[in-house]
Amino acid sequence: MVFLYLGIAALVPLFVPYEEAVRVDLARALEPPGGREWLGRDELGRSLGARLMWGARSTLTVVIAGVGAGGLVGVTLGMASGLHHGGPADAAITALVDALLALPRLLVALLVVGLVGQSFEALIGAVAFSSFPSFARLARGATLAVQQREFVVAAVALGATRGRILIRHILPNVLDVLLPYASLSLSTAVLVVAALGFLGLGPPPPAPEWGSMLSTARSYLWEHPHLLVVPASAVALLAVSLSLLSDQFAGKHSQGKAVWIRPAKTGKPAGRRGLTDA
Amino acid sequence: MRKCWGWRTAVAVLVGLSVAGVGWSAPAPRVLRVAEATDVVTLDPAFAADRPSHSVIGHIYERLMRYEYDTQSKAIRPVPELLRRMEVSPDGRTWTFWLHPGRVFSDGNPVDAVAVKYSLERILAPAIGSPYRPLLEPIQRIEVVGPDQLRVTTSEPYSSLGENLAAYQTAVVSPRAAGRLPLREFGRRPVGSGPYLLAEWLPGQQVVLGRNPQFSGRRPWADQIVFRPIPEAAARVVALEAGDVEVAMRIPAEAVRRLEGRPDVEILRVPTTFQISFEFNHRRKPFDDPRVRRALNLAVDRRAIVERVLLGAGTVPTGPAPEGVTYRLALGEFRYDPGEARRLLAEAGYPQGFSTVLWTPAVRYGKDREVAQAVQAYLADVGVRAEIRVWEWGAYVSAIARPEKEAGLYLLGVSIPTADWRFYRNFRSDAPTNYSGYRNPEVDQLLDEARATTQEARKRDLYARVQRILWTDPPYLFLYDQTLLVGIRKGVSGVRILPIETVELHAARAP
Repeated sequence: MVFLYLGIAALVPLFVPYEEAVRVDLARALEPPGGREWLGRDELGRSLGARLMWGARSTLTVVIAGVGAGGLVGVTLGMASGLHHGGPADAAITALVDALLALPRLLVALLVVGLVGQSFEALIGAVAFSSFPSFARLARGATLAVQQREFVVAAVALGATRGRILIRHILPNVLDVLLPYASLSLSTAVLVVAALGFLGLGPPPPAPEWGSMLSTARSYLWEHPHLLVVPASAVALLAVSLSLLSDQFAGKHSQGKAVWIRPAKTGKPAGRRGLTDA
Repeated sequence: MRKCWGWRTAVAVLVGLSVAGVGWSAPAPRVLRVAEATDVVTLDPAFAADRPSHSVIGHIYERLMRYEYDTQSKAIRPVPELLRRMEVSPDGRTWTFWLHPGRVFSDGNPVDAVAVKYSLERILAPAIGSPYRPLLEPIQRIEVVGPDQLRVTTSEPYSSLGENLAAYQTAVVSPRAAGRLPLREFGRRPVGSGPYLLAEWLPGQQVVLGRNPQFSGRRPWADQIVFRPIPEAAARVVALEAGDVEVAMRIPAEAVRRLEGRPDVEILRVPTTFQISFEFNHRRKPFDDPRVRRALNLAVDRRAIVERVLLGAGTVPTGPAPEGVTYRLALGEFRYDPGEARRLLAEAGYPQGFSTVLWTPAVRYGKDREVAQAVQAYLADVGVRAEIRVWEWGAYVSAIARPEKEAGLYLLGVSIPTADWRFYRNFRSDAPTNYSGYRNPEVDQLLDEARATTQEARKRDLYARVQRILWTDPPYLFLYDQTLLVGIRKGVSGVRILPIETVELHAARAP
């Protein structure tokens, strides 16, 4: 399912020009589904199908870029924090991450859009900023745990450089843990983006965006329910598919390394300091 | 399901009555409930800017004049309310007012010349800071001649004073109450002389009005009026269908067909003085060029917008003042002619069009965002590439007031029903509320003359000339005159909806 969405998002420019998604044709406003326009037309006579597909492209671009950036920043900060466990950098990063985690994700995203202004880039920033704290928290826990494993101890004993240990031994293990979470994070990001669009903070009109489509469709609920049902199903289906994908990732990895599914709980053994500090 | 509710409610009522031991001696109060889209903001007339506040103010206070809607001429006519008689000197500078004697505020104080003088001076006092000061600005002196008589002198002839005294902002307040309370507090604890007084106000939930025991005029039917803000349009419709309210303002056009199929609800279509336009920012190129403004007015198919986007809840403008405005002149619709628009743009030096920015608030005017996108598409057809920026209303109001704003066009509605205030405030070059920056010495002069003359025919002629100028050299991209849709429960009679979108329940009754 996720791949179907990705396929649509990647290929839509090839078979439906963007023009289709934004061309207003008042004479054909609110045309019902069926006929030549398989999903009908919206309140301004734009093709609902084209808007849906271009909306998929916009949403997926935002969540992938946003979660990607958030993940990158989060993992970097988290690993740095884990490696310098107990130091001032760790304290500062942990404090920041805890503060941000205390706020609901949507609220953080709202704040970012409110401060930066309304644009496609702001939306990516909002998703990134609202997703990096949990990545940082998970990466820190995983780093702490991995540091004490035999292969890391062995590598240290063999005189491997710090950089090599970090990249070759710790990072892959941390990523194992984070992959299922990243997919789950994409799923919640889809909802955050739709919520922002619904609140009128998405990309400026007439850009096709699922959330804003829902927000205008609301008032036509009784007379033209398909305007609401179609984008709502698209959002729901994508969010569910992404979280199922996350389950699959988690399942695959748990067969080999059962320990690492929930590293946050195994991390930070009491009273012992990380190896690199020794 | 419906039947279930019927007997359950009946049982509940019976049980309730028996438990409470209430006999039949105390009849239930007669209540009328109104659902509005937004909450009342303030009940201090000098500061009230929104229609829900005005609707409540109209029940709590009285004004020297009030608006009456003449269904035959379809015009608003200011008629005396507290005034018994009014006289203007031939030079238009001295006004004498006689009040009805013996009227009393709800706190027991008399509605006399002193109270009227106090109320008008309250709007004029810079210390109070009322934004409606310009309405009365030409007033130089107010003298109390007798208990029920006062004389007003203006610095220059101001023949529009009479009609402007019908504005809700000039309602007469109790000097005792307004003087005793801090400024903000009076807006929460109003005292007037209308048929009702404020009984309870739970912000965001409801405003409850009870009878004013001191009121000596014609007694209205309802003992209690409740105004409830229900922002979500669909929820307002449901409240009306469920019988939770007797009147629901601002019914969305999409819901009309369904509601009209119901036996217990009636839909009123009220043509209003609300005209929605994209105002041009005259301080920015290329909107200082009349050819560009005219071209853009020809580029938009208003009929399609009214029928397809508004679903009929509007009319195509036939002049800069919609039906209902005093001294209105009907001139005829702009035609839809994209070819001519392109030609005019080329003539003005923009054969390839240009780029600009459109500002719109979100869900302030029914379908504002949809209308903005439709206009964006029409402009694109003639080569004008417009980028839309959507604003939250509070921020929008202060943004459009800035002279250096970056918007090329911004969506705004004007609803003022009297010609002088409507045109003066928006088109006089130096008016602080002339946000578009429109500047035309001829219009300035005509407006000043119309304000000064006391001859009715001359006044009509001057305003006609103003409207012709505004229609041939359009200062705005005029879009549509709004039709207000109001839902009323069947059997409720006498509800008056004025074209300024306020509701009056003085003569209303439920079965």
